[in-house]
Amino acid sequence: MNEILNIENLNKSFDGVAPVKDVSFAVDKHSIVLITGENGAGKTTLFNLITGLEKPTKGKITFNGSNIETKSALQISQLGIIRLYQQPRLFKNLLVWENLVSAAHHNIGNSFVNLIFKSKTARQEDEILKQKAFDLLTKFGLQDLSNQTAGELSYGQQKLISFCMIAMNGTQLALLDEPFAGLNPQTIEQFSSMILQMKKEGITLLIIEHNINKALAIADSHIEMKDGKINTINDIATA
Amino acid sequence: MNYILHILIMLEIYILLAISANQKVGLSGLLSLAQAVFHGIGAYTAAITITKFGCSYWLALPLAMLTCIMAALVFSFIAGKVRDLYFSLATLALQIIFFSVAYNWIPVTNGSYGISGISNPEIFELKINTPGSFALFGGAWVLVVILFYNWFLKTPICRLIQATRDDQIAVLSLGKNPNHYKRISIILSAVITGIAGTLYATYTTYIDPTSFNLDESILILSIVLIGGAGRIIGPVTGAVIYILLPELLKFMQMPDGIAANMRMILFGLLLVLIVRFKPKGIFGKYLIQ
Repeated sequence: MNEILNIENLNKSFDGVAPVKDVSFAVDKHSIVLITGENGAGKTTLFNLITGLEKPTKGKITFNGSNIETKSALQISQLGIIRLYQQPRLFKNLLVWENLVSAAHHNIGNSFVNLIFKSKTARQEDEILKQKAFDLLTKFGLQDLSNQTAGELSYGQQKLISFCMIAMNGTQLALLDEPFAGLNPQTIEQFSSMILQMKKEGITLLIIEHNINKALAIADSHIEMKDGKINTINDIATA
Repeated sequence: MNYILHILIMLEIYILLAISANQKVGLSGLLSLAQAVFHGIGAYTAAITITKFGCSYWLALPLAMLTCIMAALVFSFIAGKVRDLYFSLATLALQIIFFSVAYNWIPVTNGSYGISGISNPEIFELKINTPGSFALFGGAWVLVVILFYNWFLKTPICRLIQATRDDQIAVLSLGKNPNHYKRISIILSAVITGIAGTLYATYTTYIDPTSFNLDESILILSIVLIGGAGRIIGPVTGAVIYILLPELLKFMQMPDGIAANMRMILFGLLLVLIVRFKPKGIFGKYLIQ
């Protein structure tokens, strides 16, 4: 089985409005899927449903073969589905490397009991994660930012660091909500190459983006939504 | 000399209270109006176990800490999921409930008459009953708590507590439970307040509900606001200013009755100036919101 995410007949309605209607599609592992559509097409609601922030009225969401539509947002993120919001959500009072280390999926020192009874291991693991964070920043050419307070970074830098946090988390499926919005062309290029690098490392990416040309250049398939439904699905790789 | 030592002991108690408030308000961003509640729980547990059950300080202290942990656990499960103003309102409710219980549960707390005859601590049969020995004893507790924070502030769990303060949704979307880190913060704060409460009860040897009312909670919060939240130097500075301010007034040879009022007026004025010109406080890292 090569599918990481499978969505079948997904519906969401509230107060007589149905932002998502009978949506079905599958996402292959290690691929980049672009989702486009006008405002109100149902893209963000779809992301909310996949990440558990909203529950579907009907339909099934399968991640790595397990149903997740009834799971909480916390349980879903623990499974390895991480969302990057349009506005970067950083820990603004922490340093950049602290943001990255805090994003790590597992750190033995996140438990008070471990800090006391396994203090040496906790210290060592924290040092390893710190080094991993510095390596990651260096790989993406962001090493100069490592000791800066996250809140003092520019908007573009904050977006890039948010993306590094996803990489640090060891996520399997990343949902990027308009990653290029508000970025200058140079930063968009940098972000695009980071996305491709992440794909190479085995992360699957689902991207909502209005800057279609830039996003199509990196995507493997393109889903267009209209009025809550899927209008077209194109496989770019074979097109 | 005894008077100076008394001032020093009160300073030590307020430093502990301010550091505990900083844990909640500064590091976690949880605006609590119930800091005096845990101070009271610690003090009453120590007072009751010492006077009614004949416990020593060294048994009363862990019992006080345990009671504070249990109270904090219950409170954090009820209020830990709400945020911002709603959390503050929950702490306000807790403060009102605690004061009412302490005032009216006469068989246990002795109501408005309070509990007297609380014995001083002992170390290996050495009674800590002089101002000098108590100042050293209190100073040792302050040192222990500061050393603890010197370590704790660099730990991964403390980073996540501060991350939760900055953005709960981001913490959640990274697969970590923000409520868990808020709960840890509330419990840790309660433990330190419990230590301060036990110290206060065994120093004054008498407690009554008026020492643990809403005014006291707001005062502790104001100390952190003046000194600054987030770093340990902040609450320590706030406590020094609050305790030493009236002493400075004595150099101005003001009558005692006026000096007491002037202390609150000057403290209030300082608070207004800080809020206006230095909203993070003197040494603050975070804005209290």
